[in-house]
Amino acid sequence: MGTKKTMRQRLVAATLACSAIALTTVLSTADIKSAVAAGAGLGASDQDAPVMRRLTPTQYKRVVRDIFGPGVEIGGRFEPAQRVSGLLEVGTGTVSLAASGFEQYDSIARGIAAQVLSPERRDLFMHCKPASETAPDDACARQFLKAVGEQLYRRPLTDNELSTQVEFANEAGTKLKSFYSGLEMSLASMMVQLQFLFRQETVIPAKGTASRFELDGYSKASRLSFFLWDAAPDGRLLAAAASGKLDTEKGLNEEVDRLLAARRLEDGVRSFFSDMFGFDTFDSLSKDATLYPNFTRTVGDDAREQTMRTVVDLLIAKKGDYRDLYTARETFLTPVLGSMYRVPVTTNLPNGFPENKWTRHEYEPNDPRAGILTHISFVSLHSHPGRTSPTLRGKALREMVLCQRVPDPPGNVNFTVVQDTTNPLYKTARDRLNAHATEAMCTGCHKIMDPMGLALENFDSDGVFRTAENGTKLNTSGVLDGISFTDAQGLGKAVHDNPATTKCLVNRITSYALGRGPAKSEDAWVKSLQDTFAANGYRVQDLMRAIVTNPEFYQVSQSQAQ
Amino acid sequence: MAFFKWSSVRLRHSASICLMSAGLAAFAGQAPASAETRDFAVSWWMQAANSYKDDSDCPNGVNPSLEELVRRQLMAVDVPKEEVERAIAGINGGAPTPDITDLIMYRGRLNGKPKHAYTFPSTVPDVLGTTKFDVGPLAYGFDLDGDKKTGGYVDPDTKEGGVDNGFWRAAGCFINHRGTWEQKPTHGTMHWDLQRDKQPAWVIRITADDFTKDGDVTVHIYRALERVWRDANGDVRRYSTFRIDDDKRWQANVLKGKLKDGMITVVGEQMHLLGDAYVLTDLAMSKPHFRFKLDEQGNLEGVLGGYLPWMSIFYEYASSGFTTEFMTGVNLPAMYWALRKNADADPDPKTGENAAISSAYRVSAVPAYLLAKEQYASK
Repeated sequence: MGTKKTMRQRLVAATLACSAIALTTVLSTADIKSAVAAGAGLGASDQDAPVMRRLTPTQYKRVVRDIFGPGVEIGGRFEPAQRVSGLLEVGTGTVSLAASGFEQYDSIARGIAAQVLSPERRDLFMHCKPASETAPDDACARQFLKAVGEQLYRRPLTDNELSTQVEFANEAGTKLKSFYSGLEMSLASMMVQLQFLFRQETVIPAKGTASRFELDGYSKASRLSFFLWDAAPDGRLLAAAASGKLDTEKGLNEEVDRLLAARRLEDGVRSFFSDMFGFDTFDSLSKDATLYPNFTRTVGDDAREQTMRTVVDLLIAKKGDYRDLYTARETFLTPVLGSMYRVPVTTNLPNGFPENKWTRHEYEPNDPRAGILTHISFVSLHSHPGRTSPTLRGKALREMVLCQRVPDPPGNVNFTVVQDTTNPLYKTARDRLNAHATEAMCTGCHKIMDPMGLALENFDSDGVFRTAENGTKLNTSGVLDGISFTDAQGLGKAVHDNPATTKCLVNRITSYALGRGPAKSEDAWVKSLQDTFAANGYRVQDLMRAIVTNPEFYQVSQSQAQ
Repeated sequence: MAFFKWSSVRLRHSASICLMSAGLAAFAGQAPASAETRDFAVSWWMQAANSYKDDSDCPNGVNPSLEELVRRQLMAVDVPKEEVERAIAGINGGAPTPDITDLIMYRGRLNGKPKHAYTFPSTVPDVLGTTKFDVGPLAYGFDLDGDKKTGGYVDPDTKEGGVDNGFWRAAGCFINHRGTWEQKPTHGTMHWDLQRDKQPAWVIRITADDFTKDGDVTVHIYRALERVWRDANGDVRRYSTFRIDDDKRWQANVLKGKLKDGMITVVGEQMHLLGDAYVLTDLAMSKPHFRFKLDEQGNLEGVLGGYLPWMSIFYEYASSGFTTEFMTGVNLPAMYWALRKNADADPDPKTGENAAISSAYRVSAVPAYLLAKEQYASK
């Protein structure tokens, strides 16, 4: 309590002095190190233990807007993410919180708290009036902080936590001579607590066994909700956690049914596939405007959304076969994408109505495009700014879609031949790669990447279709794990039929749900998920159900719990 | 045939093309069943300038600057010299006070009283009166009246004589109109670059039996419902989709002609387009002549000429008044007199004064998709 008193005093003093709080004003460095060590250590050394995951920027924004409404502006820079085992979501369990990052969280939290408790908005969230606006009112503050705190921490606040926050509000309100300013400071301080910024999980003994532990109800609720909706649990799910409903098979199934039937499932599916396909790299994607003038930021944004809409439509709306993503001819386009795909697209709206700009499109039978590997998102993301890269495309396919690790190139590789697109001896990427592959150190890895990537050579770095490079007709034949094909459609079919494609999806989505790769002890469970996935026609929604309705998803061994 | 191998947009009318799943099915145009069409969106449209580097095309020298012309105009209506110089200093400083702005805007005089110079330009004295409008002898355009003895210009591309281009004669020695296609004139560049983001696009559909052979062609010039989209370089995005505005005025913009040796030459009786109300309001051209080529990238580039009411050209300049005058450096009353003096068609039966002026524009267009109303109305 003495330590907390000191922290409160430092918080108030620092706020009054300059409104710029350093990390140590709220949490000591030791606190942070301890917390980070807990998260990183559990994730790294004890493979199937609960992981403390930091909220992604998307989750942070969604949680805040779910609680305080969509009108709340969330400005600031979030801590950079780290991709681990092919997923950012797994990386959230291994990242730390740097002092500079904490300052950003603090700044963002202050901005949010100021908006929430502004005179214009506060009545939306406050169900009591202070006795005086110029002095603290502990009862009213407690009422507000208790309700908001439960949503922020995804569980009820402990008595100690609540009392601390009320004291924050009291002390700040006294010094600032304002009830609402004090409450605003207390709210901001809650939003920089690890309980909010990290998804902490609590372990309790599992019923009927002394050797196993499981997550408590609130931790189950968070796992469920963040996996299926990429959001914090809603009121009903928290209530189910409180009542013990999630601890019964029937109760859990009811809630899972509800979550899977909700429109917000789309958010969860989008987040997973955006993570799996590495779409965060769109933020830094650029093309040489001289070579590819039609490729603008809007094209990149629309291309990402095109693939997301295709995924959601096939996997959720149509409850289709996951493998069909690689052969599907149906997609969605905007007028700007139409100019890239060379098809007329109109929305019957004047310019300036982007919210309704999407329209469904089906590739013509003679169109060489089919499946998401031929989407502009994939081929442009895995190209260089000024040329294509069969190698990058093949590598992405191996790693993202088939979960196969491609070794990094040695440090002394000479890329000159590959990079020189003007060499008259090597007019196409195939020619250049063949020349490059004569170097023994390169041949091995290129063999597992290039044959697939070359099948996509009909799609330039900006994703626009072409038949030739430097005047030479393109040869788009290739091979994937012994299956030969002549073009991108053949590649899509080979990926569709490859057993690694569905195994990879199961591995990725399970890792995404757990926040870590499946442990050896979970091999049988993962195998059963693969079998279930196949038996259900590779329906992703059914796979998600199988994951979250299995007790394994919530269990922890005794040693790990300790 | 939603996938196109060609670098330009080629649509066989006889081919059933699935445009969108929303029901845009067969491409049903008015052309013969065997015809081929190519669609374009206008990317540049500006006066066809052909200035000489040494200014020898303006034997009397280029016209005085905007400020000098303002000085002469104010002096001509007896504004005291000190006031004139204060006004010139004010506009040169970039932030004229309201009294200076008023002095300049109301530099016309009628019965001794100030008149608005942009609304009543004839009340501003013609200070270019002694200037000869002898630009050339090379100027883009066409022999619109079929009389080699009139016009007096030779087209630098076709070498055709008797080219009628009174607009160039009027404007060609104003410094901000000088330039070439490669080095575009300041005024035209600003004018069009501002305009194309604000107005619905102008679009072109060309129909021919076979673009690889000589033969008949038909050109339609429409206004679209959408404005153009830009690419990463700020140019007009290629292969965008536009809905054709069903207005009867543009539906009537039909020009017939020939495709010969890769050059398309068409002639019409009337052509009407609307631009942006703020910049270019009305383009009502008679005797439109158009010649253009398709390049290897599928772009269209050429020259359009015809007669325009010269007052409508003036009001294109004057519609934003003081702002245009001092942003683009065009002395508007001086341009008024230049246009009026060089008008060469449509004489008034009573006064004999010409109401129209021959003109020529450089036009370029990029490949696009055009949808007729029956193709998008069902959506």
